[in-house]
Amino acid sequence: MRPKEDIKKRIGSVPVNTSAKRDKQVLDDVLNALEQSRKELPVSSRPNIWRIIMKNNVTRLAAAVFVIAAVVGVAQFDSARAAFAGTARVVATGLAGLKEFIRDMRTREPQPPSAVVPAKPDEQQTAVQGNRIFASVQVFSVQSGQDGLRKFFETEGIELTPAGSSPNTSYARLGPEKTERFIELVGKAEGIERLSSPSLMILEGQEGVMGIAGAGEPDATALALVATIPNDGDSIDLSISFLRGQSGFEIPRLRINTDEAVLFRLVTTGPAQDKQNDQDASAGQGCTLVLVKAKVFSQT
Amino acid sequence: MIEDKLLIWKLKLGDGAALARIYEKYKNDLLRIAAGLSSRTSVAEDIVHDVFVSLAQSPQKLKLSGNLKAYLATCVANRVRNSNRAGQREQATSLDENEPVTADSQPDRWIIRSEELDRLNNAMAQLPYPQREAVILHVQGGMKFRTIAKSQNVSINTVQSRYRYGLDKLRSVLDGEVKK
Repeated sequence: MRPKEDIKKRIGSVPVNTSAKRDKQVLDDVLNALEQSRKELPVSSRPNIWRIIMKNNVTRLAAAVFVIAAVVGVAQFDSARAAFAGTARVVATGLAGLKEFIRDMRTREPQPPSAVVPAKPDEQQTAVQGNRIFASVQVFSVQSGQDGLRKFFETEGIELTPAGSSPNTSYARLGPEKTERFIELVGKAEGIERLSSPSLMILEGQEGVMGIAGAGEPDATALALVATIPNDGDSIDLSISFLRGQSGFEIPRLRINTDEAVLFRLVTTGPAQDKQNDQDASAGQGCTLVLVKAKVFSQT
Repeated sequence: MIEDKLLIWKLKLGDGAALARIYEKYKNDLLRIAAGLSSRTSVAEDIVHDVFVSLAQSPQKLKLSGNLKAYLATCVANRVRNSNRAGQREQATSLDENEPVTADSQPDRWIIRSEELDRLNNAMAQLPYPQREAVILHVQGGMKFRTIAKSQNVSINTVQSRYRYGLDKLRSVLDGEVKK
């Protein structure tokens, strides 16, 4: 008996040869039929490429991924376009308010940083409907061995508080003066590059998400922001989440004054190394710095 | 498979070159399937001819969820089944199959017959049609049992049984020929 595989192989490989003359005749018939169908086909019933894409789940998903990738790519790697997109969003909600916000930021007197208020589950939030929070984010890439940043932290007395290990993140709150000096530093320091400056206008209590680039990492890091306004009116509670790949963490309800900024440092190394010396890590290793500012933009 | 998707897209736009490429790519496979299913070369040729012409006449109606070869093989199988139902095929072999045929003696033939093809088709002709269809569509058409079951409106177990019995019988027929 022949094994089954032999039979299958024999059936599948039996040669079929065709007459070239008849081949041409059949192909002519087929092409004539196609030409005839083209003449009879109304223009309106010809296929629409977009419709073909949207009919199929796979191509539809691919199109969606392409569009999202294009948007994220523009937001992450083209700071000018990101700024434009953010500005356009703001214009949509009111240009006058934005001018007021900028003027306020420039003229406000420096205030001492207040302590971080931990989350209190029983704390009542005002949850005033209609408050809008304008959040601006600046993302910087810091090359390893950048000494100016370490000196800046030492000079300004900035201590970073560990926030999460995946991505390995710590943060510090910066008053207006420190924020200004930090901006000056990163503007002139070699080895520090501004990657993007996305911004968001979000309703109080609602989440806004933006993509930020990682320091030399293939995975993009996303930052989600929820802002609420406590009763005192001079501060903002920020709940900030970082997500990289399948991991992430949340800093719940970080209270800052309205003129303060929060500086996050995302290190690309593992948590064990980072725990040894947090300050040294910022100088010796490449990292990403994320500066977040938030402002109550309008109240309706 | 990506090439097939592209070819179909171009075909729907009326591209003759795409249709010619589909024809060149799959004509031999379809002729082999049709010849195995119908056991009559003339019927097999007509069926494959009609399948391609039908494809050319209404490319807009082509709704392809699987691969193109399986789709065309199903078209061939359906047409052979319809041909059988209509009584166009009355016996497994006919006179033109029994005569010694060469390309010269039948210049209008599309398939140039070979000893190997004839032997296989004669063996196939001894299988019950459902078994033959299961074997040919799976082995020559490259179709999955699930797809065959769906096209025949039977359960997947039925198709697998038909395939198994068909292959066993085919093996014994071909072995019998060798012993002679």
